[in-house]
Amino acid sequence: MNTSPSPTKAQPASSNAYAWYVVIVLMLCYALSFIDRQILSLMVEPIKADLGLSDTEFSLLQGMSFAIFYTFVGLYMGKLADTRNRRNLIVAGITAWSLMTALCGMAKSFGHLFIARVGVAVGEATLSPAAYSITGDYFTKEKLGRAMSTYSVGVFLGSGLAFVVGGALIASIPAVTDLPLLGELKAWQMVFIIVGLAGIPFALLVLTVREPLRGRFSEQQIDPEEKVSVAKSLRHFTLRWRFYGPHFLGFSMLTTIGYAFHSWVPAFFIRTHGWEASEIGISYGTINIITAPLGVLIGGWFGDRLLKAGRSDAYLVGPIIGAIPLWIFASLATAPFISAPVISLGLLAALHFFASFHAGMAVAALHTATPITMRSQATAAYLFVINLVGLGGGPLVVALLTDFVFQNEQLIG
Amino acid sequence: MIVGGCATPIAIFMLPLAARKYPKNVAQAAAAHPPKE
Repeated sequence: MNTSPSPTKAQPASSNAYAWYVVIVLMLCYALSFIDRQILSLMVEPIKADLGLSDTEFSLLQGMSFAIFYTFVGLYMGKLADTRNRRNLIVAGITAWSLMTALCGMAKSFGHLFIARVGVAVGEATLSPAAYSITGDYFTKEKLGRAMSTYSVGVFLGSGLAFVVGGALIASIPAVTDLPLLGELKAWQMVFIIVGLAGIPFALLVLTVREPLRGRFSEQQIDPEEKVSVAKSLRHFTLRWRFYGPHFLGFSMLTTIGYAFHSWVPAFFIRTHGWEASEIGISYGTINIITAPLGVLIGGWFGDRLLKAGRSDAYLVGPIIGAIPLWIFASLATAPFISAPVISLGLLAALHFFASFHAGMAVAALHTATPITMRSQATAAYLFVINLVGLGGGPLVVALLTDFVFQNEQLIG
Repeated sequence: MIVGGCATPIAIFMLPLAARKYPKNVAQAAAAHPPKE
């Protein structure tokens, strides 16, 4: 891998269409990463039965095996993305996580599957710090909100597609398939192998992306040989905690809401309205696939409009404005006095629109306020905090409120 | 859910604090490297 960005100042300016091509390719890779990450949750019962796993062991495969390595390795990948060729880093990452996803299908025990999941996490940790950094170098600051938001759509697209693609695959694959060299494979094993190998064309697609000159649209002049250590970056962030602290914490809170509702809305509808899991799965899944990408795209456009209108802090003011309707919808969507489930679903649609509204602007604000040579590390630290607080805290706080404050399963926290 | 009702106000309180320091950080980020000629 190259030790420094290869393009020179003489690199020709890319067309607007090519810049959008790049961000859409990266967004598709982001969606792929979410499919590979979440497809496990569709195959709980067959994997548990075949490998003899308990619920606790399975939850470790879903959560801890992934989250710990994804977040911590992400910090190191941020440093690599600040100093190395980002395009090649992403190609290596996609290849690694795709092969590890395919390897999940060969697992014969909890240990095998745990190690393969760790491999998926390590591979996926390369993507976002490098992809956000490349995106930042393909767009001027006037279009940064829309560009970052387009990349962020991958989260919502991938989360939804994981269920659709996974469900379709499971339905179409025979219970047992006999493959040369590999022998007899169960349907869940074939799903992992097919989804994993499908990632290789994505790695090849990323090879069509040119590594942009670092900071090409910035007013800052950087030395391509300059290396910024993690210690130096940490010192930079901690000295400026009055910006990074409220930024990370504020956006973590907004992220927490999305995760908390994702985790508990199905249970709410089953317990309170007596719905079947399949009914709420289809209704809520459809709402998410439509409203969340729409929210993040319109949020990015809104931030760029604010910037054009003269608000230099547009990427922070935009999310504050979006948080006000979010507050209202988050308070009302599952309130006990909303008795009609269809009204709850309508409120949830509005909630997920505003819960994703900030996603692109948050990274745009972070990039514009951070020196070029530390941007990927700042992104990695940001993702570390929002994943830890949002994914770790959101669903857990709801469960704790239900169990220990309300002490009533009908009153989901 | 009570989580949504509580988490959003914290965000609405925190983000203006970040916004207040934002211009200074943008300026410092620019100052970290000499401007292009």
